[in-house]
Amino acid sequence: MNQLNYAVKRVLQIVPVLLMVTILIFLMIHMIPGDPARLILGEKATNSAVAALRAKLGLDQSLPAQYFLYLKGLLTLDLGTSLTYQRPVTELLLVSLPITVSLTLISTVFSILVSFPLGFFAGMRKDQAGDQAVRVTALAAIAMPSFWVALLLMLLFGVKLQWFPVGGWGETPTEHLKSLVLPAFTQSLMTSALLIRNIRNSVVDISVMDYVDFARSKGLSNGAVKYRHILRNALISTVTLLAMRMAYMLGGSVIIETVFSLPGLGKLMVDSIFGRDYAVVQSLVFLFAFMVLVINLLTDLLYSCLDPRVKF
Amino acid sequence: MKSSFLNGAVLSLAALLASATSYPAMAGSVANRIVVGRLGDAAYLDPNAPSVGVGEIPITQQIYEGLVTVSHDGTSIIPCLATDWKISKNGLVYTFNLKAGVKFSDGTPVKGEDWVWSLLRARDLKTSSYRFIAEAIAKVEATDKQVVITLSKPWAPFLADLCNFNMVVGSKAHYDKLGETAYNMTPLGTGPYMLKDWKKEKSILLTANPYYHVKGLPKTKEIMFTVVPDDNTRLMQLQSGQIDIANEIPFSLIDTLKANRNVKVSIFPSTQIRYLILNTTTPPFNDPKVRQALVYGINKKEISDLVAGQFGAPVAALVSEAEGKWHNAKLKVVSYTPETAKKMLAAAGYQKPVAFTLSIRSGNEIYTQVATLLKSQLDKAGFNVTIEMLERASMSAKYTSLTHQATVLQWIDDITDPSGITGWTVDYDQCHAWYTGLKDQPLNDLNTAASKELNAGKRLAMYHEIQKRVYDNANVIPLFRNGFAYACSSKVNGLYVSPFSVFFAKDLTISK
Repeated sequence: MNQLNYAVKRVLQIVPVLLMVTILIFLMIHMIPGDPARLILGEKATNSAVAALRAKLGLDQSLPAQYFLYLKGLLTLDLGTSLTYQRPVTELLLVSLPITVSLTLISTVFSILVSFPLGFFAGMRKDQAGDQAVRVTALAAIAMPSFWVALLLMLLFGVKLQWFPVGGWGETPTEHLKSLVLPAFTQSLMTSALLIRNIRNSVVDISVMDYVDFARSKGLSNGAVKYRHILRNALISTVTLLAMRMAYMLGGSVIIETVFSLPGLGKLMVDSIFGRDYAVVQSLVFLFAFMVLVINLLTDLLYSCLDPRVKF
Repeated sequence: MKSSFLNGAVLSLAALLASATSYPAMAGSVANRIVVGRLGDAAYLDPNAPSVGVGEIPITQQIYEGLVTVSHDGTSIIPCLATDWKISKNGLVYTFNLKAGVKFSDGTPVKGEDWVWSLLRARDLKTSSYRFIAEAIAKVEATDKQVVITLSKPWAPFLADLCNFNMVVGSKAHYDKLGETAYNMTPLGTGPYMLKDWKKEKSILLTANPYYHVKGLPKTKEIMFTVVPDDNTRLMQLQSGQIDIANEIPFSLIDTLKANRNVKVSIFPSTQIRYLILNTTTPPFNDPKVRQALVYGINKKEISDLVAGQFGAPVAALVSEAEGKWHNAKLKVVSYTPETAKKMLAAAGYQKPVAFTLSIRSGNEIYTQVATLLKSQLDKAGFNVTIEMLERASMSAKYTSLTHQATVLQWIDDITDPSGITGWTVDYDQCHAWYTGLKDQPLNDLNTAASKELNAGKRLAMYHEIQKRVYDNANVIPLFRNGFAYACSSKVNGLYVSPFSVFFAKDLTISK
């Protein structure tokens, strides 16, 4: 099977998975207690106002009728209208998606810039002082709660030095970029630490492989052996881990987004669940599922580029 | 190669840091703009839309105005778009003379038909949670100079009701052009500010209404409301100059803030009170003797001291002290005497600790603190309290279906009149007598009579009596009151918040 056939087959497999996701999320969000109409109207709402709003929002229809309306909307790329905000869900996603995607991309770049050199450095110096220092630092990064790191960074770089804004999204592209530095750095800490440990362990394992000795015995330079034979092979498992972390970050980190006042997908998701905003929750879960499936597919396809032994 | 790889990484980070250079305050230090940081965004910008709460009201109050309004201290009713008014002897007809030359912020004049349409919409819009405010209106007639409102029944708090944020004038032509959904999001009023830009979940920018009918106001050209959900971040933004005003400051952080010379902290008198709500339809609180014993097992002073510190006080009466004469000052806070509570329970036939579940909303520091203190106090007074924490939607579903046993809720008055809180507490049809399920018909009749009573002295006595009976029923137990906490830059002047949480932006200034 060539790469194209494999990709087509995987894309076709995505369809039933997504259909199952729509059924599961629809049932789950409707089964948990809480009336969106009452939440919208607030604590001072009378029963008659709640009943009137339920009728207006279509919440008085049967569950199957509501599900088929939702499915019909999906098929026509209409994600519906937010119950809470009375705006098209697409409009809300278009506000939040760029923020989360930008945050994820910058976090990923930070993670790669930090973890690849440090992981490789530690792996090549197994059990030496440099290796120990990197491992302890990575462990500390995993152990530190992200909200605590976020507050410290804001205090230092926002309040004291005033290099970056204390949260917020700003108004211009430059302000957007500056607004993303601290949250991206905070978010990248955990990913960097995990990648460092993974790369370090892979490098340690691969360094003692026969093909590495063979490459050296062929007379290849030290650099060629390290980067072409050790690092490249170490990247296979790292790419999987990085893809998983990217999928996780695209789902949005509600803590990072809340502390840094970034209206991304994570915060939108949590607010929508608390507000029982069915249309938004359903659309977001669908979107997350779609993104995870696509990232997994791309990761599998990338394997064959990194390792010629991988065939489809 | 190795060193160049590392260098590349370090240089990339350094380049990012260098590009940041010294970060200027985003807009807060600009003298013609004041930035207010707050917890959440608005869902709608129409005071009669379904969702009207802390996200919406502070914005719509800058954009819309009504016939009358409350004074800054919240104790009297003063003219706004009406110059004066007359009330018929039978209390049924209210005649308002209008201020001349008032225009909407698009320059179109306010017409009589706008008043008729606006007031009837406030009464008739079924999805509005505040239409009860206008339900006494039978008829509205208006010219460009006068508005005449005829009531279907005498309704003593009507003038106070007209100060509510939803009894305002909107443009009928604007509505006809946009339709309901777009109108909800596109405000057009006569107030000091108008909407310039709304970035969902990020910011709302208001700019001065060029046609505002009071010369010299508003004092600052632009007010920007930004969303900063985290308390710590909001305060750090204030300290860094990124925002100029921050609301809903946790009481525990006030002393820290006061130590900062660049920040001012203001505590405004408020009608905000937290109450313990007991479900009287199910054991153990269907027994009034258990409810009355419970009152002796609560140390309100300790709760107030630990939750709100010097900015709070224990309360006994249903109606807030900030409502002035309406507050029944004769009712006193019961001293914490757990032994008395135990004796009362024993006398009522309860030999073992009375167990109940206190359901509270999760994610709110104040509710958590109150619940923890209540448990520690009541467990020593013959009760056995289990705390159940539920997120907002589940909590709401629980108490609206009367499947809870006890919960903690809060109230902030909307108007300078006690009828709102008393109606909510004693009228079963509104919301099961504030989710307690208590059907006290004589008390409900007294409340109905009080709302129709036109003699001021008699009406005052009736509301004092209502508070006394609620005190005795002990189904709604007031715990403590607290002020509204705001912090602002020392450069900001003119910050004022009424006891009804009305935030006045038109008088705000910021020095360069």
